[in-house]
Amino acid sequence: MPLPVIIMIPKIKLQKTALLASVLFFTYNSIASSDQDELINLSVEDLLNVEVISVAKKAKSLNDSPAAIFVISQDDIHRIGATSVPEALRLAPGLDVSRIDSNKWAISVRGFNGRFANKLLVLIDGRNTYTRAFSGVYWENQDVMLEDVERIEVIRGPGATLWGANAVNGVINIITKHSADTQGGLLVAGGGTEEQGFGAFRYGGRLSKDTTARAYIKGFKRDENTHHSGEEAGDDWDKVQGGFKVDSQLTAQDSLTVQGDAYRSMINQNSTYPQFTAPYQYNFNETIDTFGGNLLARHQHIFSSTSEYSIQVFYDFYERNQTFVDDSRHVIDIDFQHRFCLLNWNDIVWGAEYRYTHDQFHINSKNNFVAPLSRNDQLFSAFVQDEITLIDNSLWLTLGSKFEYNDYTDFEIQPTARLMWAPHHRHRLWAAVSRAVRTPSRLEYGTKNLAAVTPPHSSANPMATAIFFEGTSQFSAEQVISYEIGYRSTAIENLSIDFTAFYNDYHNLRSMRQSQPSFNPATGVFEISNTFSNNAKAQTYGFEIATVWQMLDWWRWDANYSLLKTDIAGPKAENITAKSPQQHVSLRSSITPWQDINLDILFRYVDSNTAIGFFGSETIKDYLSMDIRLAWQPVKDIELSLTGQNLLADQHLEYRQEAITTPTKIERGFYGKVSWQF
Amino acid sequence: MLTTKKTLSLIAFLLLFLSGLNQAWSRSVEKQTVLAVLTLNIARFTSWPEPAFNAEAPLNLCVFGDNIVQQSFEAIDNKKANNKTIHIINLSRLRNLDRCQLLYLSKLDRSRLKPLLMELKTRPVLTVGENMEFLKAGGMVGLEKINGKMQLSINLHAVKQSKLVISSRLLKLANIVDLPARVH
Repeated sequence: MPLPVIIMIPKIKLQKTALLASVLFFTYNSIASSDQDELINLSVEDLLNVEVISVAKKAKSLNDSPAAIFVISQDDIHRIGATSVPEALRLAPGLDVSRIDSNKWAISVRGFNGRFANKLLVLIDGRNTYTRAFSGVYWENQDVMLEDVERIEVIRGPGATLWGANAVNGVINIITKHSADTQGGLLVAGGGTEEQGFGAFRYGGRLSKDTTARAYIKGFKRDENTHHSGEEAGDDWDKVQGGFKVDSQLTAQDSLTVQGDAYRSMINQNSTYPQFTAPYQYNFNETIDTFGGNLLARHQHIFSSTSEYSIQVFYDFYERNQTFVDDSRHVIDIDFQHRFCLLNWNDIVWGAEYRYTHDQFHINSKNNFVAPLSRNDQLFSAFVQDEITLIDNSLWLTLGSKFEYNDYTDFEIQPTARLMWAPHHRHRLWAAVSRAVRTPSRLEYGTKNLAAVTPPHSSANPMATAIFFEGTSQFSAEQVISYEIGYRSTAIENLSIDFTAFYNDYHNLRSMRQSQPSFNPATGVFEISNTFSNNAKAQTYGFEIATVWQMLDWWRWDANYSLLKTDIAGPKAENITAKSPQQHVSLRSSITPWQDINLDILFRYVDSNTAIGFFGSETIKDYLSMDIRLAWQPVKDIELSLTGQNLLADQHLEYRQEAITTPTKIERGFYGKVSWQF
Repeated sequence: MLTTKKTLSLIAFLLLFLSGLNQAWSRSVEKQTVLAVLTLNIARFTSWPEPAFNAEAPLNLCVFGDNIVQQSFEAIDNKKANNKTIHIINLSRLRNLDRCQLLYLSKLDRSRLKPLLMELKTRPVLTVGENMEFLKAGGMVGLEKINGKMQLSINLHAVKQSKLVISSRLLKLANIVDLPARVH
């Protein structure tokens, strides 16, 4: 038990401490085991009279998937005091979650991080949050009522066979609770230094015997951070969001879910844009007005426990109004899936999907071009996957592929083969080979943006040089072939271990083709154009370990470690892609010293990493941070909590955005929170 | 040296303090452990119709759940229920359920639970689950924690349909519900 304690103490004292420790350890353990023996001899009457407690043990419920899956439960989200989805994601191993400033995040798995990272797919209740604008996710647009989240599944490695293009390095599934599980009211309110104020209200009720529903509204205001230079960063923001979910059991076999959300957010940032005349850049505070919403309906029909189909339709839109670029996007998606069992040893799932996207850009600047300004895109895809039971309850082979047709790169095939072996119910071994692609974004397809203007160097070179980034219709999909092996074990009592190693081989990665400088008399500067091309290659490899140790019924440790190596080859290799941190360590201690008190401590160590952008590349120093949350439940339905975030430094830098904003240090924060259930 | 001593005593004190604080914990029992032992007792009070399994064979208790559920059932493996030896089978997939005399289902998705229980309806498989929702979906025995104690609920309709017999001694302790699984 007190392993971390022993390490801290000099040798002479080791024996004594170890003795004390083992006495305590065996006392606890013997209570546990003798308990069970005693219980077996109890009568049913006595068993029904025993005082029973529920322990928040970490379950590995997705133990049986041949993939690197990590589940963040509602309890985890609640107990670390996460106020946003990215903060909750920090609990997952191998996930690089970097906060750029108050309102922007860079999140990726297994490398290639950035605010405009494009190799991670994010779904909220089956709705794809991907935007074609840059083939990624606007994290500031994605929010949910965190109290209503059932779990977040984080899948490392390609998930393209099921989820399609852009699930290159991982998939995040945010799953909210069934409305039958959120009946009654919940009121949450709080505030503090960085989280200046937040509140949420949800109410769930029964509309008829077979229909339950809930609705929520939430809002927050978050404070600005500090620039590298020490000035206020001007990155404060606020947001209001509301939504609903209705679940209806139409017949014994048919269920229907309808849900939707709408939000509006005012995002402030201090922006720096290039210009053709001295001092070649200018700086001002701008406000981004962003709003959006979605509506989703899903019908599920169940034939039997091994056969079912579902049809899902969703509509999603957002609009972002910035000073120079306005961007709006409407997506309609129809998805059909059918699962059935064949010959009792094939579990087959197949499906088809159609997606229609309409977008519209408005450019209010002479330095940015988007062509065409509006596009209507279609996507057709189908997939089939078969889980073949080779040996009952012990060996499975999964084969499948996605077939996709999109308006940018036409036809794409994304197959996978996965093998899982359960030599014993406490051990799982798996291996997988998969191919995935990342299709081009609007940015890469047809844009021209002024990235920077470098001042004149000397009298020999008296002119300034403007650097442009240019998209092209020639840009093709990036590809990866990924090899993974994994091992999961719960062989040691109260300890679970999850290990995954991977090797990813990337081709056709984005690179730049630089033009010769040419003088433009209109602007009075030399111009260099960097056109996107697919000439880079990369290999990444590494491993991830996630362990949970239930030291005592009331004391749990979660420790994660990940290592990532990135080798990039191509012209100007250092500027092709950001290098994610080589190492991530997280250690969480969850203590319930008394039944109505919870204490959680989270340490995170993030190795140094490199951000790239229009500024070139910048190395971000490694950092260690600590969050603490203390919660008290004075009565059953009320909880009071205090949370301290980023406690180890006044402020620290986690990442830098590719363009426009300057490095922003994230500040230490405290907040208090009250939640009342009724 | 003094600081080392201080550190040491501080740690010792902290551990003792925490262990003292936790007397409330040691008096009560962890829920999952009780669930497994209760399931064993339910098996002891149940008789299966003749063809369900031959006299020599063990009583197959199939468990579908996460690692924590599975581990709690290890304690009752090879224990006796009447004249049968309990044999725990941890299921990875809900397949080949004919071999199970007792099926313990932990937290199955609502949409999956119903069709599964419909299929098992007339088979001699005693289904044990964790809440009222389970009984409403057609499950036979529900074990739910209410006000810090376990409550046993039995759906007599479902039990009778599968030709199982639960002893009146157990029924007396249970909250009896008579719920035909709703077709609509």
